[in-house]
Amino acid sequence: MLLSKAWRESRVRFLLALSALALFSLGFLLNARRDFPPPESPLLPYAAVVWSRFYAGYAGPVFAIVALIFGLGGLQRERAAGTAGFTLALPVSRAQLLGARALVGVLELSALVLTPAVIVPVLSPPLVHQAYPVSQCLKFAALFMSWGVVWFSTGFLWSILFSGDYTAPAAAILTPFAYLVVFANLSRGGLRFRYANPFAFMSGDMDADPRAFIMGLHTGPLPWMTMAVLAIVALVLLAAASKVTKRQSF
Amino acid sequence: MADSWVIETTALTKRYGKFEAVRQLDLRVGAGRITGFLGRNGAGKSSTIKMLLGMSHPSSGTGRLLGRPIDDERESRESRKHVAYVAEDKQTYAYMTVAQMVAFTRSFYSDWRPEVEARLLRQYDLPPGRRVKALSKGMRTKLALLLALARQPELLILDEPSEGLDPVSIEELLQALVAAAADGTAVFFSSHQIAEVERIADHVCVIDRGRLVLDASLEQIRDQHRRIELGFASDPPSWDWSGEGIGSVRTSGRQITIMARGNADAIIERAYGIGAVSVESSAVSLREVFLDSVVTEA
Repeated sequence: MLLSKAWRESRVRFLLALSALALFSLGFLLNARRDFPPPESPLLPYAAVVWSRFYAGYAGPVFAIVALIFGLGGLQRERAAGTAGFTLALPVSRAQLLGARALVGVLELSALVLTPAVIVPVLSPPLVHQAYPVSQCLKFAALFMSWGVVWFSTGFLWSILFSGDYTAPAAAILTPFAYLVVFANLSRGGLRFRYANPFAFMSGDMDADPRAFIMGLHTGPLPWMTMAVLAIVALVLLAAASKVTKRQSF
Repeated sequence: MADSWVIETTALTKRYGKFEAVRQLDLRVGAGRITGFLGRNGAGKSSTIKMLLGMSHPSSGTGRLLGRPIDDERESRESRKHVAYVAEDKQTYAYMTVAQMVAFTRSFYSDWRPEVEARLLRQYDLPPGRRVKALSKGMRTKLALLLALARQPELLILDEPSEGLDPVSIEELLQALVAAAADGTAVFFSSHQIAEVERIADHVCVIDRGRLVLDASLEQIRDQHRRIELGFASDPPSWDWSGEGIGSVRTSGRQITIMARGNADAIIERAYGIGAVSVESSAVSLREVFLDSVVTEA
């Protein structure tokens, strides 16, 4: 029942994001049907176009903001709505409430990153007369999800630390930009700590591999170690959120 | 006197910064009776209830709910299985329908009574398919009450339960609380409506500025609390009226009115001793006792 509650509370924003992404994907395919290959670059691989639209450029920052917003909500929001008293009187622990919300949020985020993996490979052949491998979509979904859970957990923590109606959303939107400013300074403009650049990581770090960049295909193995580290960071953030919630008075 | 306590606090204190919402509260609520919890706005009633239910952590002191410590999360969760609670704001999830809200709540409790649920749905005229956000304030209050009253808990805690209800619904609510107590449920409810408390409560606790200023059964209040009016032939002598059992003292011309909290006979004897020519002792209402408690303590 807690899962059902978490789903009902988050489904509007999830369905909005899902619809927007589905519409974007369909729009991309319809455009590609008309314009691919572009006359100025007749040899441009279709995979490179898919990569540049779905997994590079603005895709990373937009996904980061969406993931951060997915993390918002919870007991502070319920306090503002006046339902915290009812929820906290239920015979469940605060950790269970948080766990249900985290699980539903991560599942929603997973569904979001897998949406292009369904639409693009399935509809590219009939609409664009081009093939795009599912394995590529799944690889990029894994890369997006690795940083996605970190952004999600950060939004989750913000929603627990900030009780104001607009404070947590504002912090969520500013977080990726703040991170980039700090990263740019520490990494000397991205020259060091490349693994810590979320958007380079999410796009497969293909700028560093000219051949992959030209083909638009992620050919190497997934960076499992970094992915594991990111998963641990996300878990630590969620554990911190749980600890803070446990101490809060409502 | 009750054999066991469903609520028991010792020096329970809640501070918000420098402000003490609850101060050194020693509260005992007996099983199987209806206890009214009275106090002015901001007296500390809701803060006390929130600490009892584990929503808010005590700054110091201890408390037990159904014999389990309130500051241990696992124990608190266990005790909440046997406690039904109606919060002050009576809000439930706006995005659910009445039926979904009932099904959601029912899934957490083994003491749910489907027949009572069905009866209250009819009695309160709650439309099962309507979303909570589309309900009026009174209907939301009724839904919150249904979610608590459809169970058979050991303890029913209600924070201002009649707020937002029409007179007929208030009457139905009071009857439901009496029926719950008759079924063995201890009822602990806070209210501003002293007449409601006086009608159904067996016991009254009054809290003022975070401190317990009265803890007595209604029977004790009726027996021990008296209004004593003293008449003097000339201006009353100056006299230190402070002492055991004396609440507020008001002088008006040749008359002194004393609110006695006990020892009425001794006070009357003292009054004759200092020259009172007429003494009249009368019963007082709970409203007068409440006002005397909070005004004297202020």
